[in-house]
Amino acid sequence: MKIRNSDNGAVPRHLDGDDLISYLDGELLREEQEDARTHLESCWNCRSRLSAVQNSIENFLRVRQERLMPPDLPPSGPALDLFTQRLADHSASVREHSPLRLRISQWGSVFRFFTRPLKLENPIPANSRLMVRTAAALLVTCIIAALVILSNRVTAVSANELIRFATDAQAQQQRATAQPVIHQKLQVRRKNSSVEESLSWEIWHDTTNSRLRQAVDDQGGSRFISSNSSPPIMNTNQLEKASSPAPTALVKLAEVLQANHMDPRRPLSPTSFQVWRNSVEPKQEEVTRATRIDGLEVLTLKTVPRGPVGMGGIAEANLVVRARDWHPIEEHLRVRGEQGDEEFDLVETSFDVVTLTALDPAIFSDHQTALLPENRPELPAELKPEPVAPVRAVVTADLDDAEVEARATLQRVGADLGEPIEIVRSASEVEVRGLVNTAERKAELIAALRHISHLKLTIKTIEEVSREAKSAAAPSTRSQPAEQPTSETIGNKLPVHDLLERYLARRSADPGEARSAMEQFSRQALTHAESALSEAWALHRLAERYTPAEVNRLNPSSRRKLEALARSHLRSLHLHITRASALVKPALSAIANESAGTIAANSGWEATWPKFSAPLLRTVQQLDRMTTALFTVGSNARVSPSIAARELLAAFALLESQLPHLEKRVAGEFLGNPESLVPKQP
Amino acid sequence: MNDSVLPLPQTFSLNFDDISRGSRNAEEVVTDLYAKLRPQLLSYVYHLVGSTQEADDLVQIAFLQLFDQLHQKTEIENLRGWLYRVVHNLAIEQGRRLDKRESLIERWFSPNDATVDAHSVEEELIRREQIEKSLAMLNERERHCLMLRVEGLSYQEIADVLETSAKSVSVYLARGLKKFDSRYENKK
Repeated sequence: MKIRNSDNGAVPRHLDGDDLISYLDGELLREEQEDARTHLESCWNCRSRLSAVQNSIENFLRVRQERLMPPDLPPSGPALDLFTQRLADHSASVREHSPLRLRISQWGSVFRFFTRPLKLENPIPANSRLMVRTAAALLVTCIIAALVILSNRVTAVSANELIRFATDAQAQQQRATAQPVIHQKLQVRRKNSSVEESLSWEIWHDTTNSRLRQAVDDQGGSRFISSNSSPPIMNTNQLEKASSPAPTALVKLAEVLQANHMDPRRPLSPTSFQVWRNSVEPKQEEVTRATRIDGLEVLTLKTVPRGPVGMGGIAEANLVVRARDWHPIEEHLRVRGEQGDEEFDLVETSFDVVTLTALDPAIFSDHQTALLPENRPELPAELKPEPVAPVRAVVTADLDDAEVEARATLQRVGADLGEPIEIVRSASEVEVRGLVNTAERKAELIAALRHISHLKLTIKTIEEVSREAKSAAAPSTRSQPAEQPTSETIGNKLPVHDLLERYLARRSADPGEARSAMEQFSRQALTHAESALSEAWALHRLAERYTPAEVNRLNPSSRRKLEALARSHLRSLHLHITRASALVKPALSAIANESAGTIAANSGWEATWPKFSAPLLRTVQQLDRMTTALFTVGSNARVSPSIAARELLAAFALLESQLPHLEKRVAGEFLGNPESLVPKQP
Repeated sequence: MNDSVLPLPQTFSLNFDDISRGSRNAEEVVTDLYAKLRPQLLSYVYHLVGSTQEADDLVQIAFLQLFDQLHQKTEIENLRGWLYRVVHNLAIEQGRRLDKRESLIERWFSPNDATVDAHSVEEELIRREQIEKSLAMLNERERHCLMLRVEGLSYQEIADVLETSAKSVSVYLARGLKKFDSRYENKK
């Protein structure tokens, strides 16, 4: 508080901005408050500023009311019910666990009792020591088992938790099996004002090779309805190229799932449910628990969009999971249709995950028209296939969106940093082509990308490619970037060995650790440099792809995604540079203490999109090269260590001076209006 | 306008003796408090997480934690400050975990279709843009301070939530309002 009486004591000094608001809020000390009041009475200037502050408060309140308040509060009734249930469960678990904590501490002393003599009397025979250890291990196992049993008790959950648990449970199930094939039987019912039909649907989903086989059993007989060609190419625009007629109910269901960002291949998957759920806001949700007549305890997540629901949109969805293992067993959808709502009920009748080798090879055989053994005669005419994919002209804007979305998704799963994955545009689709190391990685990428429409995925594992290469010509994939700095090998010396040794010796007392410390040091330096380089490349690729003209074509939401993407790369880049710099600079300052800042001072980049990406990439490349020259054994030192060190420090200095500007530049909307792209760096 | 601004009373009669004597059990006390305080906390958390469902979830977790405190007979000096601090930290932590910082900010600027009262779509769009720009002027600290002040918290309480000093809070508030208004007023 800076009001003080002036010399003659007549007029106190003017009030600061924070004094004014503190005064309005009654947050000044009593005498300060009094002084302020006296001053305000006599000072027009301060009084008018005071009313300006008051005015700002009103404006802020107005904006808050309009923009920052929830559009509508979820009703308190269901929330209160859920809370009461959650609290009851929580309190029960607190009661159960507190005596357990006591027990653990008791076991702790028992454990200590056993281990103490072990230390004191060294000449205990080895096998009795082993027995004590075994006993201790058993004890620990018992305690863990007790904890697991107690915590296994299912508690009331929120919608988010339910989805999360169900997703985890499913992932675990698949992980437990090698080459998992999900084999699922579902009862499907479709009902609207004019039709009611039901059928049983059987799905084999080979997750390793992304193959899908489906069969149905209805009045038309029991038969395979489609087969997947063996190359792991999925086209999400179409459910399948149905070779046998797919019943209308399934075709309609696939359309609905597709239109609502759900995965027609995994109709009961919690992940798929989650994708739809995320796309709906605002929504109302509740989780209820019930015990079925057969004694099965289930949890039901009901999600109802609160906004208007368009034709073909889901107006209500219920996902039912088994309480004991979070396995989804039912899904009920109410869908807006032209003649009133249409209902789809999916009820799982059997589910197992089997390993591919244990499966009848006929199931994934290439005979697309293969029929199930108990095949019955021809289909009635009215069940003949309908076009599977809704026919709509794909416009360029859709493809633009799909492409940005795909790029953002790839970034999220860390697949835009050097893995040979590329995005190829044609007139009618966007294709993601990629070569990945493992089947898991492939499954992960497909899972992340498949909700995007107009996207074709051609993702192969190295194994698949080499298998194909034996029979046919090698596929065209981009190869890994040529030079990969390798970590040093023991026995050779680093170019900066002596220096580094002295530096590290000063920091650690034990000379025995010196070698491993040095290895660790150089490995970290190389890793940061490499990571920074990947980020710089990612930015550069984006910048090359999205020239201002291209940016103009994007809609605002895609543009925002693109901005977020660039921002995130820049942030990671900055982070790696900062870490590398903190690591390397102190060590190198001995060789190159002068002249480090000089290069940085006179070169500033144009901090505009996309122009900054090229100099940025160049500098990071230089940094990576110099790091490699200094910290790799046997780098056939084309540059002397002192020059390399100086260059490296210069690169750091340049990046450290420029990156904050760039980050500031991309902090807000920076692709929006062309003028914002112009200003040059001072 | 400021209908939801009814400040929470700072202290509630959290009578620990009652609870331990068993005349009112802790579950009842916490449920009552939840029912009473949910709306205020919800509107604060919403602005941090951008979804009413998530906000509701976090508020409930805060009250479960309150129950734990009561259960362990820990005194809570200032219940209102404590609750805001807990939900604030939960929301920030959640944002960090989901790495949703980007999307939170985007939510700030996401079109809110409930807005009416515009003479024309175009005018409305222009107005929205101005509001967005005026909000974008604020940094995170300033925004948190303003939002907590709107909820009726004192400077000291805000300082406790944000782990800073009451003096800094007054500076953030003054600066935040000034930044906000320079943009808002200019364009009006």
